[in-house]
Amino acid sequence: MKSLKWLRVLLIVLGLLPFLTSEVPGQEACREVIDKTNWKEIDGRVPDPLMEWVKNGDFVLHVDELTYAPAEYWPSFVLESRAANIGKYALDENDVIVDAKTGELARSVMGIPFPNVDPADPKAAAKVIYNKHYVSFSSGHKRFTTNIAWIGRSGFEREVEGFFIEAYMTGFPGAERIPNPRDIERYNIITVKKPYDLAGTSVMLWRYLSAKDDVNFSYVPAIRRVRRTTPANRSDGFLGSDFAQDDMTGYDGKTPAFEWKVIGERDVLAPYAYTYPIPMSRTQKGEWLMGRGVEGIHYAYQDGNTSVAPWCPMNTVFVKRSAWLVEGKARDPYYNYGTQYLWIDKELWWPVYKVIHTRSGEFWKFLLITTIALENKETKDRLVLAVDQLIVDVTRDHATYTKQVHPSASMTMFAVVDLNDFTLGGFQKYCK
Amino acid sequence: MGTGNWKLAVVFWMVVLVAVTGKAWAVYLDGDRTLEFTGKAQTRASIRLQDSEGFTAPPGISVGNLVQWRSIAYLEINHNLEKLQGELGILKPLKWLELRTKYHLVGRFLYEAVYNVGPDGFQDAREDDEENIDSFKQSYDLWEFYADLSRGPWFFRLGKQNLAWGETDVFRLLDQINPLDNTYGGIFEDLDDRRIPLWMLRGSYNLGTLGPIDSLTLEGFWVPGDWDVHVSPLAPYGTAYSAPLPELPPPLQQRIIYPDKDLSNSRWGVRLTGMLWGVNLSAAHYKTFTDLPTPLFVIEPDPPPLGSPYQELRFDDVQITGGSLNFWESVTDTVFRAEAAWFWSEAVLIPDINIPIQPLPIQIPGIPGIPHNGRIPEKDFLRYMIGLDKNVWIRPLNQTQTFLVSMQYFGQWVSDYDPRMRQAVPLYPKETEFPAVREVEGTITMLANTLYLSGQVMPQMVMGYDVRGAWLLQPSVNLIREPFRLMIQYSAIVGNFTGFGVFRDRDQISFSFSYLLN
Repeated sequence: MKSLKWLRVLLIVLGLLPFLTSEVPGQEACREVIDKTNWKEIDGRVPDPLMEWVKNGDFVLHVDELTYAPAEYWPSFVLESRAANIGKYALDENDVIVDAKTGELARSVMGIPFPNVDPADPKAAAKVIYNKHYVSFSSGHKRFTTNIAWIGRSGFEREVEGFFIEAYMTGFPGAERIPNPRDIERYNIITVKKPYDLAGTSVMLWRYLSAKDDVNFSYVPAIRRVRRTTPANRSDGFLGSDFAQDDMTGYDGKTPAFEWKVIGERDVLAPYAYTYPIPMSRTQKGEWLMGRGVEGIHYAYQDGNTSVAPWCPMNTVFVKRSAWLVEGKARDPYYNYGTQYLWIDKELWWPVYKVIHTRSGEFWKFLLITTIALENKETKDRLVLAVDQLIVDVTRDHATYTKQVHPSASMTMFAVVDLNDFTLGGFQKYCK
Repeated sequence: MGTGNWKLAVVFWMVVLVAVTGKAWAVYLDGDRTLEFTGKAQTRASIRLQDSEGFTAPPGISVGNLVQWRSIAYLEINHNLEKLQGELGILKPLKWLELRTKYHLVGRFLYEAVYNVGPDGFQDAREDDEENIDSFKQSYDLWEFYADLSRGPWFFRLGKQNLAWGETDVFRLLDQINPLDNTYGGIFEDLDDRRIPLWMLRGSYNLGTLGPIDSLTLEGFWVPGDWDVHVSPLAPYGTAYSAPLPELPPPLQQRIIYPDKDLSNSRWGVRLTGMLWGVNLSAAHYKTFTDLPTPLFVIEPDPPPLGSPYQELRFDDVQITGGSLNFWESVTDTVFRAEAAWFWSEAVLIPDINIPIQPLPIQIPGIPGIPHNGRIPEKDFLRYMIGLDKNVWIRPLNQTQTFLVSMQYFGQWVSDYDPRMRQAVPLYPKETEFPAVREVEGTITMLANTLYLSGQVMPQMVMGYDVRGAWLLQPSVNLIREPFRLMIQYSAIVGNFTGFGVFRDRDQISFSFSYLLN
């Protein structure tokens, strides 16, 4: 009888566990809340799809001001590159970065390659995209966990957790010391950690500085071997989510794969995770580590809030910024997207929004990319990153978000990585 | 409430709990997320859609009969020791050596209930061979257990593991290192679910870039024969996926000859891989054991008819030399792959040699003749595959995901071909006649799948065609509702009694329900 009593207690505790371990949201007070009653205040300040969602009640925006100047939140070499790289680089006929004087492939670019972009330059948009790529390289090699969650109108559907390792062969000082005989731009490895049936699936990318196509490998536990996969399939849904591979951080493909055009410059309310920088520390190896315990973005379904769309981010703040509006059209005739429009922060070069059309020109998806700033007050290390993303597919009334910022995970920048991992032999470590 | 009701209540409550929360619980056991506990539980039921024919045992199994009710659970631990190396004294030597270490452990628990609750034929088979089938129907194993150690270009994986080389799917060429367990689901089960891990020492060294070759890697493995000489198990007579073999006529008895636990029976191999001008290349040589045993008559002691006749099933070793390649072709956006392997001195069946029978002067029903001592002949085989993988947009059918289409052609050529070569399953009703092995054999496979509803529905079609007239068809659909999985699969083999066609009376529909711990 005693054992039955304890069993009852255990069942009650187990029953309460999910609720006790749920993230408890904390909403900061902000300067202004924009909802369906005052949506006109954001007319022209956000992309039209977002404005429509606020207007119809699917979204609520918290508008605020940053307590810091994000353009100062770069490592010193990036700040210096804003002067040092003026006129140093150019784009060749294939939209590949070359040394402006010699025309040779630019193998070691520090910081922002094109600090001053002239909108009248026919290659202006491609340069903006390169700046976007190189700011992501400027935080050095990275290790981080990303959770990808599928959200429908009824709420949470499924989740995949992936572990990312990214190694850059250009873009930051540490890369200069790495021998790079094959002119690699970057390597990355993604390993799925959960759910169980996908766990162990790993993909590896070799991307080249030239216009040469990527080399892709994937390891699938079900077949227990590494297989070569096509690098051209970047508009396919990632594991069935609303994201395509190229959607990550706004655009994760090769710059020459698209025709780019600057449409103009816009003032925009850009999404930020916090109005202030969050703490960062250094490891014994000198790596930069985002602090643990940071809540990150939470969404309406997590609060049980049914007054807005389940995927409405509830604690994102929208901050006034200036952005390039860039149009992109894939050169690949089989690419699954039509015309895309990217809003790219003019100071930070991080995309903040993307609007995706179908191949027949209809509005299809909307991507929102959150920015975060990090600071180590002791060492004065500073960084600004694009992190959590939300993509909404309007045709299916469905969304997917990625989450790098959450209490139990931590992102490592200027990470110490073993480049042997990115070889065929080293990749075996990530294969079950 | 009685104890039994409480047990049901616990199970019910756990299921409700998990379903209501909508997602499985996180299972990192430490704040640094270095120690992970995960797993899955699955139950699978298969219903036969054909009556048994020929030598298939038990004979009474018919349409609508349950032929499989298998429950399986995996519990898995993954632990990255890098952080602990700096903190735990016993692990500090690993840190001094600058080794990155982690370990992986899987426990597997399997129970096949069809021999308890299935049709009479299976229950009778169990009664006839109770000890053997009771042992066969359940297993509780330390399934995988290995440690990874790496430093710079060196990588070692030591312990119980699976290793697959080559470029093939569905069938194996350079991928025969680990034995397969075909006893609980036959060829209808996924290949990876059938692999049996081996205690293995495995290592690789990254030679890096050498001239035009990228990522040149030398890899080797060794399964010490005095540790592990596991070979593919044989399904006991009368079990659902046993080969269609007749009962041996008395006084003939069967015995299975497994490799001795001896260093001379080690599996071992070396492989060199690299990338040259965008083409992945590999060359390998390894030693393993054949998946299927070869029959042999042995009379103890000589001479007949006074001796005791045995039909031995011997697992022989074989050495394999081969290579593979793959590359992506940009104009067609297709990955092409190919593989070729030479099997040295592989044991074959030539009935006149392996299982010689002297006919009786007077024919007696049920007794084909007097067995004599045989021997096992050997032949060299060339086996090869060419294949392609392509992601295809078929937008009228799916606007958001491509279809993966994968096709392979497998070929086999026998060096020094002997037209008396046979496959080791007799042609019903004659116990001494067997399907021929041709000098050149071929099989085509095709797989296609895609994703719908945000990846929650995955239909798939697998087809195989043996050019001698046997078809394998296996459509399936996988459904996801976290943390559950449901798979419905139809498996059918039609056509001639050759190759996989020997299982042409085992058509089934299967339902597989899984719960994932995370």
